[in-house]
Amino acid sequence: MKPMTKALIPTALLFVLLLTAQIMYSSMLVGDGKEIKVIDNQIDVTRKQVLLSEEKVASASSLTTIREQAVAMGFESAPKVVTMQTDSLVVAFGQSR
Amino acid sequence: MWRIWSVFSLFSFCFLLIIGRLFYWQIISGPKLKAEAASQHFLEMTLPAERGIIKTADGYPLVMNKAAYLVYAEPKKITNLPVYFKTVGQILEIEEATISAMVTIPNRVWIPIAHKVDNDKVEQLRQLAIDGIGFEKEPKRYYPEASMAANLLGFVGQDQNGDDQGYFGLEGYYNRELQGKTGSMTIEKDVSGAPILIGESLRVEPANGSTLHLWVDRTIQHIAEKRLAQGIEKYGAKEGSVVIMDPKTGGILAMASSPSYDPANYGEYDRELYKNPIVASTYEPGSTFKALVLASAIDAGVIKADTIFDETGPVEVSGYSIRTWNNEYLGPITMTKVLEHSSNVGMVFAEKKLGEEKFVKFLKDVGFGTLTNIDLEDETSPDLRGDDEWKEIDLATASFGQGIAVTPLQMVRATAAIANGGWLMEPHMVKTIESEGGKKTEIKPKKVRQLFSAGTAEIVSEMMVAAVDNGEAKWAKPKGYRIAGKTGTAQIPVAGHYDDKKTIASFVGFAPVDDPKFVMLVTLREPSSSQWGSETAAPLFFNIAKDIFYYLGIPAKS
Repeated sequence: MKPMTKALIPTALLFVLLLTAQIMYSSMLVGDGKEIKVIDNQIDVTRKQVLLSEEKVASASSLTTIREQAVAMGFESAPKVVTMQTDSLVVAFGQSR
Repeated sequence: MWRIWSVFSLFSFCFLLIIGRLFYWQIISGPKLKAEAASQHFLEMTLPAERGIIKTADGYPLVMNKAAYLVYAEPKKITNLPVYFKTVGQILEIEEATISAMVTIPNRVWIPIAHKVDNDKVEQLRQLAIDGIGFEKEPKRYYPEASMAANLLGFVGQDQNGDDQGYFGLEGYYNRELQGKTGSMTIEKDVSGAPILIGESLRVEPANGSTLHLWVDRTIQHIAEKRLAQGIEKYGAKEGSVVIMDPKTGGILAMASSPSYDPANYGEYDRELYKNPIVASTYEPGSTFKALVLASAIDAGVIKADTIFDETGPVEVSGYSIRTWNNEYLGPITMTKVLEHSSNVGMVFAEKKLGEEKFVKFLKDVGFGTLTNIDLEDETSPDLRGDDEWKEIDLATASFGQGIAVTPLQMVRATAAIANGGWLMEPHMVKTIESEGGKKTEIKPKKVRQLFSAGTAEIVSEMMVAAVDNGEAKWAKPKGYRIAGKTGTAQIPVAGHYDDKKTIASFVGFAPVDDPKFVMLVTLREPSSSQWGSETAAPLFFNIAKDIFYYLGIPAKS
C-alpha cells in the first residue's frame, strides 16, 4: 500500500464519521425543536386550563351562586325580626317627619 | 495609448458601478434585507401581558381575566365561501352578509372578524376545522360577582389603537398598574417552522399587571347593594347611594349606588351611569352637617353640650326668616337637644357663637371644596365660596347644611373624623398593590389633619348617640347597640330656588360608638313614600348596620 493511500483511508473514515455525526446531530436538533414546540403547546393548553379553572372557582364561589345554591337546598332568609320598644311608641304614627 | 486609457476607463467605471451597487445593497438596503432574511429565519411572537386582578379585602376577585380570542379570517385559505359564511356566522352570531362583506375585501390576507370571543364558541369553531379561520389569544375581563361594585370598578374598553384601556373607577385610576407590559419572543426556526434548539433566540418576558387588594369587603358590599336596592323600591326613591368607611384607616369598606350598570356589557348602558355618584355627584348635606358644626363650636370653646339656647321662635337673618323643620319651638334647650330635634334655629345660634372666620376656616379644614384624593378616577369637588363672598345668610344656612354642596364621600369622611378622635383621614380603595413577582406595596393610611380634639370628638359622639336614641328615627334603631348618627333632609335647589317636594333624604352615622368599626352615609334622592330622612334613609341605615353587626360578630348589649 502506497503511503498516500495509507493517509487517505483514515482521513476518509474520519470524514465519513464526522458527516454521520453531523447528520445525526442535525436530526436530533430538528427533533428537539419539534419537542420544544410540543412543550410550548402543552404550556399554552395548561395555562388555558388554569385560567378556565380559576374562572370556574370564582364563579362557583361568588355570592350570587352561593345564594342560589342555598335557596335550592332549602335555606331561607332569616325571618323579619320586629323590635318592640317599651319606652315610647313603636312607630311614629301620624308624625309629620 | 488612447486604447489603453479607454479600457482603463471602462474597467474603472465598471468597478465604481459594482462598488456603488454593493453600497446600495449593504448600506442603504442592508437593514431592510436583514429584516426580510430574519423574517424567514426567525419566528417573532408577541407575548401579551395579562391585566391585573382586583380582589376584595377577604381575597375574592371582583374582576379577573377570562380566556377569549380574536377570531380572524385568512381569505386566501378559504375553500368554500358560502359554507364558511354560514357556519362562522351561526357560531359567532354575526349575520352572513356582514361576514361576507368583511372577508371579500380584495387584497386582504388577514381580516379580524370578532374580538374577545368566548372560549366555548372558539372550541366549536376549532372542532369544525374550517379552512381560513384563525384564533389569537385576547383575554377579556370577567366579573364573578356580576354587576356588584360596578361604579367603583369602572370597566375596560379599547383605546384608539384597539388596545385595552381602563376607564372610570379603579380600572381607570390604576390603568398603568393593571395593564402590565407586553413581552416578545424571537427564535430561530427551521424550514418547517419549528424552533431550533441551539439557534439564536431573544425572549422578553411580559410583565403581567399587578393585583389590587382593596379595603372593600365583599360581604359588606353585597349587604349595601342588596339593602340599597330594597330601600329604593320600598321608599320609591329615584336614586340612592351607600358608602361605608373604616374611620380609623380611611379604607372604603363598601360603595354602592343605584342605578348602576353591568361592566361586562357597559356599551348597553347610558354613559351617565359610568360615573360614580359617591365621588362625582354633589348634594346639599342638610342636617347631617349639624354634628360637625357643633363639634367645631365645642372645640373652639364657644359652646358646650349643655349650653342652653332659648328657642322661642324663628330667627331673622338678613331679612330671611329661619324656622325649625316643624315650626315648633321648645324654649330653653341644650345643644344636645338642638341636635336631637335638628333645630335650624339652634344651629344659627352655634354658628354665630363660632364666628364667620372660624366657621369658614372649619369648612375648608373639613375638606369641603377640595378633592379627598381617593384613588378613583372620576372624583370631583364643588367649589366653596371665596373668603370674602360669604354673606350672613350664607353662613346661617350653611350651619344646617343648606347652600353648600359636597360629595357623599366628602361628607362621610368628615363624619368619620368624629369617630376617629377628630382626625380627618385620606380615603382609599386600595390597601395593597401586588406585582406579578409577589412584591407587595402597601398604601398606608394617611392622616390629613386633626379637626378637633379627641375630647370634643367624644362629646359630639355622645350627642349623636342621643340624637339617634331620642331623635325622630329612634323607632328604627336596632336594640342593644350604641349608634351615633344624624338624619338629614335637604331640599334640592332647582333653577335658583328650593323645591319643597324634592328632597335628598340622608343619614350619616357610625357604630359601635365605643369602638367604631364603620361610618356610613345613606342618601336617597326624592323618596316618594316620605320626604324625611328619619322615615327613609335612617331605617335603611339601621338595616344595613344590623347586617354588618351580624357579619362582624358584634353582639347587642342589654
